[in-house]
Amino acid sequence: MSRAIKTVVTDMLQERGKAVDVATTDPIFTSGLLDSLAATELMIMLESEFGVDLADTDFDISMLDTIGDLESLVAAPA
Amino acid sequence: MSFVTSQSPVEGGHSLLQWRRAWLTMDQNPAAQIFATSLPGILCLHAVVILALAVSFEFSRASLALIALTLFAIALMPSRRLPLMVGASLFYLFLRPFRVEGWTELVRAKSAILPAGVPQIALQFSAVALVVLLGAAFLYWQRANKNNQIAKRPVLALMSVWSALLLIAFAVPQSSYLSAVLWAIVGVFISSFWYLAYAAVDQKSKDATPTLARAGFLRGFWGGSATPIGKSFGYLNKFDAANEMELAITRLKGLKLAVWALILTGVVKLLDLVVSGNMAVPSLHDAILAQAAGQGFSNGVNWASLIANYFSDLLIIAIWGHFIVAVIRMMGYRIPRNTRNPLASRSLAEFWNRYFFYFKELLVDFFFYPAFMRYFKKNTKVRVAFATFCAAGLGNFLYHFSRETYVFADLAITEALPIFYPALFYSMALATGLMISQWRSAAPKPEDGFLRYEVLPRLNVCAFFCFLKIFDDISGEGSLTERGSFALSLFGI
Repeated sequence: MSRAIKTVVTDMLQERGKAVDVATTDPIFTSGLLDSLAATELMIMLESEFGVDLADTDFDISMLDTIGDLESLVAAPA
Repeated sequence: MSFVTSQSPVEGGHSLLQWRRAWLTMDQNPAAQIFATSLPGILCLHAVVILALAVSFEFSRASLALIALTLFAIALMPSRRLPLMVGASLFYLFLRPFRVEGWTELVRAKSAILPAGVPQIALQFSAVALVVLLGAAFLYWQRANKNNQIAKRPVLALMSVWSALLLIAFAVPQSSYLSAVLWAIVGVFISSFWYLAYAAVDQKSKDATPTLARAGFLRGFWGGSATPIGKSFGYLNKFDAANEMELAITRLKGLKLAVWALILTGVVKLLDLVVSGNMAVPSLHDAILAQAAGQGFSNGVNWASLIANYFSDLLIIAIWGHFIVAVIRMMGYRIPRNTRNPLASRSLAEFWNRYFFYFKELLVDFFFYPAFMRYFKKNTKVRVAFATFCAAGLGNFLYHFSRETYVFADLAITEALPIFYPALFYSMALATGLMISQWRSAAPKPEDGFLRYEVLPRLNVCAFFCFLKIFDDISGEGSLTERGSFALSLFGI
């Protein structure tokens, strides 16, 4: 699962011509590395593949900002 | 120790290029990095940044003194950075509580109805103190009641409170003391609204900044618009320099940005001298008003005015954004720039990201994501389009509308509302343009050729925003119809 999230993010960066190695704690969106449209793609993937409910009022976009955040979100019980 | 890395002899243009390269790569130069960690280096870097700010004449003397004192104090007492930042920001908020001149004028006029002997400054200070106290109370309550539905939707709650205050201020007799106090509170509240909103949203995250510090940070001491450049502590802390060397590099980047902003300031002044002075091209605003009054300029002059306005606007946004980001970087936060080569954009969405990054972030954080996460989840295209509409259309309009609501104090609703029509059109046209841009599936690729990849997409983006600027006005001068007529007249219609 961990590899899947990292692979998805790396693929997104490569598609946008940003072949950088992102560490687990590096900000992806707040740093401007990926834009809000990329964030929507990632959110759709989180919903469809991992069953994450983004409509939960406890959810905050800062929860998606690093690969580590994404992994925690996916690992959290529904 | 050498800051120019090349060993070859330097002469004429060649030497200039070498100095340019040395300057641009300064933050990667080990000698410069080491110098920037030393006390003389720290003082020198700060002095040059302050000098750049001073020479630009973009800051008042009082504002410059506050920035200089705060930056030097933080540099000398880095462990006190948070209280120094908050203290300076609170001080700035008390001195400059409003972001728009209209609010200052309204509160000045309203202070005349207060009992004799109560100065305007007392009304202003009381309003700031009340907003800070109310903000702090809300943040403490939100922290203590995390599971409460209102605490979970803090921005909606804050907007509701502000709207209610606005309605009451509008409804009470305008000659009453209560009216003066309420309008002052509404003005301070909306001028600090987005800082408070970020503070409230931050409290839901893992960021450990004390609530008291969040409550005191309702305006950056560096000034600027109502859009929080650098958002709030949650965001800033993500970019905090981790060690002395990172701090030195961040400061070198800040220095480079401040000097770049100064150069751009010179470009704007030169452009103004040539375009407005030598060529006598009027500002876009004046050209629109002249045409509305039946004394319009020639079509060529109108086109020149439109194009000059576009580039001038890009430069002005870049300049003050760069200066503010430079000040924030001097404190050790490696935040991204506000403006980053907008002319390179190949799509409307990319332009927004590059033109005014932190305003785009505000719209995305508070309007796009909340809508995207909740509505039309079964249809991706509609979902993205609706969220885009909520951000670029609804959010964009709400931001500008709320900022200018002082007009309701003196005008009837039927007189005040038309002031906002151009901004409403602007927001809706922008949202529509962005939605169409997103629906178009084929993004330009290098294999499409130089013209189709490098030139045409950028020209399209330029043209769209250049024309949209005709409607980007909330001054109340130049109605929507007059602005529409001006746009059509450019094509002889």
